[in-house]
Amino acid sequence: MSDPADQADLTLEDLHLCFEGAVPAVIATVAADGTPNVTYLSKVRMVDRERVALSNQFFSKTTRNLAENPRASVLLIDPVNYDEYRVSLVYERTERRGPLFDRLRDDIEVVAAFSGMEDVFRLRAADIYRVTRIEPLPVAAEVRGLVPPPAERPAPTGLGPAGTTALAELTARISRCTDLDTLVTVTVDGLAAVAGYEHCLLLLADEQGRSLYTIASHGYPTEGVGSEVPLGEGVIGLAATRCVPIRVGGVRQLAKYSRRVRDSFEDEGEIGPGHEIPVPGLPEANSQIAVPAVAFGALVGVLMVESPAMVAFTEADEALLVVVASLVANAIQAERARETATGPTPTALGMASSAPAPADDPAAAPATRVRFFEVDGSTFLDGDYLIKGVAGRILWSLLDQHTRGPRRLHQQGGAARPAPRAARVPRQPREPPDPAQAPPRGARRSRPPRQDRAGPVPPRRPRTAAPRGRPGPRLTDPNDRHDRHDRPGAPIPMAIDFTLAPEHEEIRLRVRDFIQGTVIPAMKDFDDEEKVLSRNEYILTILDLREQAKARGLWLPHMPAEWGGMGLGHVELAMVQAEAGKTRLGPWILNCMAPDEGNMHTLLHWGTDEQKDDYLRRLCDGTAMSCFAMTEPEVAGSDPTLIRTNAVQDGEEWIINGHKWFISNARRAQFAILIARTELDVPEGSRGATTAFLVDLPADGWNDVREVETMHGSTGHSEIVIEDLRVHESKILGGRGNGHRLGQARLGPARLAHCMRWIAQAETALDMMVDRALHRYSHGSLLAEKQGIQWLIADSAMELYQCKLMVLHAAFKIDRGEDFKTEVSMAKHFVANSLWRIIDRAIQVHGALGYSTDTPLANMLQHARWSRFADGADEIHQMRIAERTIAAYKDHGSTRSATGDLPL
Amino acid sequence: MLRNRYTTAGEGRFAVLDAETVELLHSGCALVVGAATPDGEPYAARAWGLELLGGGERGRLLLDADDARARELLGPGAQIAVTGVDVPTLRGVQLKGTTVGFEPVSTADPARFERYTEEFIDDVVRTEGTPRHLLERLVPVELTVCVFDVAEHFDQTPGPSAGASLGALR
Repeated sequence: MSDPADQADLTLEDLHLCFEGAVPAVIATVAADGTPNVTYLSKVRMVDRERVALSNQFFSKTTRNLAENPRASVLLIDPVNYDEYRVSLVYERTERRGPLFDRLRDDIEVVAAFSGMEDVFRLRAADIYRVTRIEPLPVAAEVRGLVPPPAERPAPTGLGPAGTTALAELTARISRCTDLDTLVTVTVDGLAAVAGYEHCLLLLADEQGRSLYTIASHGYPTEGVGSEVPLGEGVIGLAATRCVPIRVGGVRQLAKYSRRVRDSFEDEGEIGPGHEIPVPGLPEANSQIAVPAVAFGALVGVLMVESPAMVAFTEADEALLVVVASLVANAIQAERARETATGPTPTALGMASSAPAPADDPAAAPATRVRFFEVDGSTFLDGDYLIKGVAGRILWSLLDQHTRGPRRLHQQGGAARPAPRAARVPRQPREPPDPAQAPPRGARRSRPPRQDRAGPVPPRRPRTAAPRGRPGPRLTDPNDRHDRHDRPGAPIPMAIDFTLAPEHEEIRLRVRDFIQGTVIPAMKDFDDEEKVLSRNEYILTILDLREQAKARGLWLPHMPAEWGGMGLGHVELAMVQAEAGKTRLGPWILNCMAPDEGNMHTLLHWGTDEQKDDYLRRLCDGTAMSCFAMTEPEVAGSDPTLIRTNAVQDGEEWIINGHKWFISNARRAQFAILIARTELDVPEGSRGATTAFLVDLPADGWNDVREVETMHGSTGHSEIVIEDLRVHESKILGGRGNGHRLGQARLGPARLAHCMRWIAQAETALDMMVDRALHRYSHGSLLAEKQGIQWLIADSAMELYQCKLMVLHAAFKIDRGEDFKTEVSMAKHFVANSLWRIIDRAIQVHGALGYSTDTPLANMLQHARWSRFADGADEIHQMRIAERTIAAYKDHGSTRSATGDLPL
Repeated sequence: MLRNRYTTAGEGRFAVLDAETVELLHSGCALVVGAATPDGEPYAARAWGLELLGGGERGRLLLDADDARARELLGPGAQIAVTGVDVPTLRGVQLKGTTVGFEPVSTADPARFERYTEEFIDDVVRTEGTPRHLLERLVPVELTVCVFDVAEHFDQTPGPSAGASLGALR
């Protein structure tokens, strides 16, 4: 478009490709005082000929501006030819439900599905705008005649009007298929040959409705047969979950945006860290359509086509694929129904055969007889049922590959190899085909190796989601799951099994042995006033215990191996902490105590390489201790945005003044992480107002004026007056303005670590309660035989059980990279209160002895009281839990997702 | 008893944007500018390079000289918003302030424009797969320079902190 005058009377329909979301749009608004605001938009959706809708996600300022002044200016780019338009809008209304809201929610869910943010990245509202003007923007070089305008408008590379002919031809080919194996092959090959789709995948849903498995593909350098896509993940998984076609015209832009948003949520501590997981597909795909294959109201699979070109597909492509997917789904279902009605005959059973032993040593082991039944994909090993459905078919296919020998699995590129055509969707129970009789590779069809073999892997595109790779809790057999989430679009949660992997159970037992067999006996003398040893002996003893912990490999359970740690996930860490917490010094001996544990995480995540080499290294080596200086007496500790301690830059240094208290471990610390306000004129509540500084201690200007006396004595919580403390700018931790984010990110998992240690204390109290009840005799019976005492024991046992489940589940969610805020808040509140109640009951059962200092219970109760307000007071957590519960109901019509998001 | 010795020393503005923000805005980030008509109608346009002076107190924004509307709206004393988003990471910052006015292109500006355009297009091609010749259709032929004083800056990175103030400069 070189002459804007030619573009008079444009309508939104003329701009329809601008609404594919392939190129970010720009929106400008103006506040009541005339201040403009300009930002990028991920997608604008056309509502009708006169209106567009914008998804309201992060528009805090834009939304406020529109409330004051309803006008907006939006820049849109046509992704096919890069014509640009300026569109003037007037805000009309906001919708929070209804068909339009649902369409925008689908758009948002596509973004979320790219990086596993289904639980946090949700549509708040759909804002509807009326278009008042469309202005095509001139291309300067073309207007000036420096370059010629394009001869004609490029068209999308998709199907276009040839679709009807292509559909007829494809339908005819599919209709002629006589078995399912041929059907899937004809479908993907036909999509390429007839409709020109160079890259196609056909996936089948498993019986549990949790995953999709690739059963056929076309147009990939290596094949992904057998590769798995969990429902809800990526474009394919979302199309299956929502049972609607998903078309994306700018995959790379969308994936980039999704990763950025996920990173931001992680930085805010609102979701746990994710990791890269692969999904099948072109690594450089820029356009995708995933269409659910549905028959008789049930999801059979997903058909996906993709292209490296932007906006390669249109509504016409989508329509054609919907028809083809439906044809395939109905054919598969009809064939299954036919075989179910016919049933496997004795003859068919007799056809089952054995998979031979490995080719390199056929005599090494007796052959295992593998029988496979096409009717339902069930697979038997030596007569024992193993698995069925798609998983069974995949296994059969892999066994088929295995019997052909490894040489064929490792060939790449254009090397000729037999096509493993068997068992993709076999019809009858049968033997793995004889390799010698396998047909040669088809000329048109690429059949590279399976993904789970050594050698070439199928095309995979990394995406962010789910947990860090660590064994952690094991998932139950998918076949054991029958329950499903009924929330539309919700990810289907995995069942949970908190059984530790053998290597982690071994670690837990070694920690228990060390704590019970070495640490507690070594510390016993220091609890006996008659045997009080000198402080030097005490120090030497605990330092020796630390060396023993190191030597036994029980050091830094929360840190990765490269920092000398044990590299445990949060579930395993919960169990280790629960063992270590049986004695007050246990976590310190293992070097996983507060506040150093949280500070190590913080340095690991936020520190520069130099800061890690210095501060983190010393903490990990156990040669330094640290403190975290955030809480202030003048402002509410539960609202760190109110922090007053301020830092003012002076050249390369910052001058810090302020007042802190309850700074645990300050007198033993070699350095502090100090949070101070660096942005002095920002509005109240700003989360970017504070900065974290590393302060070497002792330091001029850092005045530790006292250890605050508490109800359990003076135990290392210092009050610090900071006067003209100078810190070099290189000591900023995590970047300027990130103090609040850093603190919140630190506190999330740290709260759970507290819970783990509190559970250990509560269990000790319950053990003592029961022991006392079993030995104290009164009024004709033991206390344990009295109903009133039994109630105390029962209530405590039930609460401790709840504590453990809540902590393990929250840890499980952290390890899986899922949103854990609500679960951690609930656990922190519940465990803190349970700790208090259980110790109090234990004291009650002990009577006067419990009130005395002859048992640890009195001291434990004194220590327990702080847990109800430290790291977020009860009421703060209750407020957040209530907010999220209400939001869940508003979003889904159910509070289920706010109560653990469990399959109940 | 609390020993409250909190001091109000250090009041006043901090002087500059941090180095990371300056580096971002000097790079080939995707730059857009927001303006307003006297009666409050918003106006959005693209920008083609930004130079920050005095550690971020003043900005020189390269705009399409053919955009007469932008020149009209961004005359001396107008309010301005400038957002720069790093193309590979989408980390973004928005500056808000008041315009000083337009000034002629300096001898260094053409090179700045060339460098900016090259970096911006390279990043988009590399991360989004957009054909280069399409992106080049956006590029202006003649430039003008809008000078403005920065008053405040905001986090514009997509995510829960988008729109959060990063600090006021005056």
